[in-house]
Amino acid sequence: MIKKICIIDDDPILVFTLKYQIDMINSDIEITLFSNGKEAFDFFSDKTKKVQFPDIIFLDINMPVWDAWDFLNEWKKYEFANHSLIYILSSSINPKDSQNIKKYIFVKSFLTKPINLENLKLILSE
Amino acid sequence: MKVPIIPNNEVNRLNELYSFKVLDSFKEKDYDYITHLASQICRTKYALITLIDKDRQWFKSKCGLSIQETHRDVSFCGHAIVENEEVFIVEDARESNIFFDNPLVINNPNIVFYAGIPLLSENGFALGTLCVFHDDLVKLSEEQLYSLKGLANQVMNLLNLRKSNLILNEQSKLLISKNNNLEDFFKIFEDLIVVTDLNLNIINSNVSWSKNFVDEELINPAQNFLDYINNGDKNDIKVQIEKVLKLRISDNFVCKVKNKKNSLKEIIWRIYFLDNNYYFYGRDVTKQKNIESNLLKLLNLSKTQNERLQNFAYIVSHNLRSHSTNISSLVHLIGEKYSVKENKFFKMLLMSSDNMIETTNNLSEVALLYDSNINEIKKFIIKKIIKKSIDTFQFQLKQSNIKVYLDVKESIKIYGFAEYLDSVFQNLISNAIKYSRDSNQKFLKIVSSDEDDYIKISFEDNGLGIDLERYKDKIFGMYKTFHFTENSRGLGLFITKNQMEAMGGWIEVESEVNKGSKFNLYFKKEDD
Repeated sequence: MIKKICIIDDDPILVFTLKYQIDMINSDIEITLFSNGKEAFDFFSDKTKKVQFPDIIFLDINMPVWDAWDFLNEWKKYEFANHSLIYILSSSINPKDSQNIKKYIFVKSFLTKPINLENLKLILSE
Repeated sequence: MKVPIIPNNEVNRLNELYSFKVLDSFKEKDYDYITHLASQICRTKYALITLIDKDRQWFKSKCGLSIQETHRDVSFCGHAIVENEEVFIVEDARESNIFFDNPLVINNPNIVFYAGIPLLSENGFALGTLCVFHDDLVKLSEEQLYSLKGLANQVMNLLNLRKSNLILNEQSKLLISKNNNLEDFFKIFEDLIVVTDLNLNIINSNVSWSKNFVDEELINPAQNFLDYINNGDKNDIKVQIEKVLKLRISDNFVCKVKNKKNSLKEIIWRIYFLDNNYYFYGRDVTKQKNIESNLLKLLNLSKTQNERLQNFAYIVSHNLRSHSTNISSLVHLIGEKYSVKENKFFKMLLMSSDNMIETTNNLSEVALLYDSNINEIKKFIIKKIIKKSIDTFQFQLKQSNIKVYLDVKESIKIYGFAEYLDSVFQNLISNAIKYSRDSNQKFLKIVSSDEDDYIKISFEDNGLGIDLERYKDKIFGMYKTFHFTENSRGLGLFITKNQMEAMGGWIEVESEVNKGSKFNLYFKKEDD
């Protein structure tokens, strides 16, 4: 059962719609938001706090400061990398991007925006 | 009377004789001295230098005789040249069974005594004789004979000298005419030739140089080659001169030269070193250089324009797309949250936002075509991929009642990109479905054939067809549709064509309205 979800995206409208869709499916799910990869990484790698890792991370590719690849390259160095399933969210339909994710075993799959409700239900029920 | 025998080598002998070009030549003192001396030494009335032509004997010099030639048949010398002896002597012609009835014996000059020395050329041919004769008996001493032989030798020397002179004359004539050719050529020669001494002082030049680069109105035009060279290029000349001194020839190098009108001309030079002189050979390439630099400017311009376009494509494929997906998501959410699903305005808004996504998707696809970072080209078993594409459309094909015939050999492999192959085949199949024509036997035939370095795969249907006369130039263009069918977006064939070309192949079309269309795909068998 999915309890915690993290969304890393700099686009407030995307964040709003995705959050809304998740709420529609299951309003009990706890959602954490970050507007870029660095912000999220700093939060989860902070050893001074006890951090609970989410079940799913939705990760946008193009973001300021750290993009998805910067984030993943840091993330994979840590033990906690396996705690969460990562879904890449992208506006791009470039097949090259979908090739790149194969390098990261903890990345579940590649989703092209917009995410439709039926797909999202499938992902959350897994 | 016996006529002289014709020698075996007569043809060659005559050719040799003619090569001296002496027959019918003018009287010459040198020869006359010799006949005079011969008659003096031998105390005979007559002495001759005879040359035996085909039918006559001709006298190059004569002493005591006034006629210039006689028929060969009556000649004594004709006999002398075939006897093959150092000297041919007739002591008393009146008693000789060869000569007793010879007209020259019976009549004037009434020859009694005759002695002839054959004139032998270097190649051993007897051309004629030096002979003496008399109208009475004569006895020649050894000494007289010896002198006569010496004189005959002198005649041959004179003849040889004559021949050498002839050859020399001809050669010098040839040389002069050759020289004239070269001189004429150098007058119109547009390239530059400048000859300088070791200090680069100009000692000679061709017309093209003096006409274009030397201001003749100046009282003292510059004498040193370096004075004509653009200041910035003088060092290049010095570098090349060092090379020339070692290798006798320089590289080709460009350096600018001020012409008469003080404008700089770009010249490709090459220097040669010969007999302590430098030979500068130059060709004016100013025009070509200008064209080159214009081309370079154009190239840079199109490069930056291309970069701008790629940037634009990126903005379209990414930024525009994120906005349209947001709008679409919001519209869908509104539909979920508020009871507007049946509202006419909402339906249209939903359709527009979906169309917008579709359009931005298409545009990104097109933009990607020109992305140079596409995947590596690979070999594929073509039948597998076509089958996969047919499977994708299994449902629609059944619904439209289209029968598919696949006649492609299992073994055929072609070069391409996986995504492009899928896209090309799926697009052609979906076109065949979209533009099918009502009929009992709708079909799509997919057939392969071998065409030298290429594999041809044709997709043939009996659908609506395309008016090629009208749309020939547009069929593979962007956003061209030829039918009022729902869902035709006018990008498919444009993308297909570009994908085929990116894989090193191409696409062709045959079509007739209300008969059907045939698309021929050509794939490379081997990667270059």
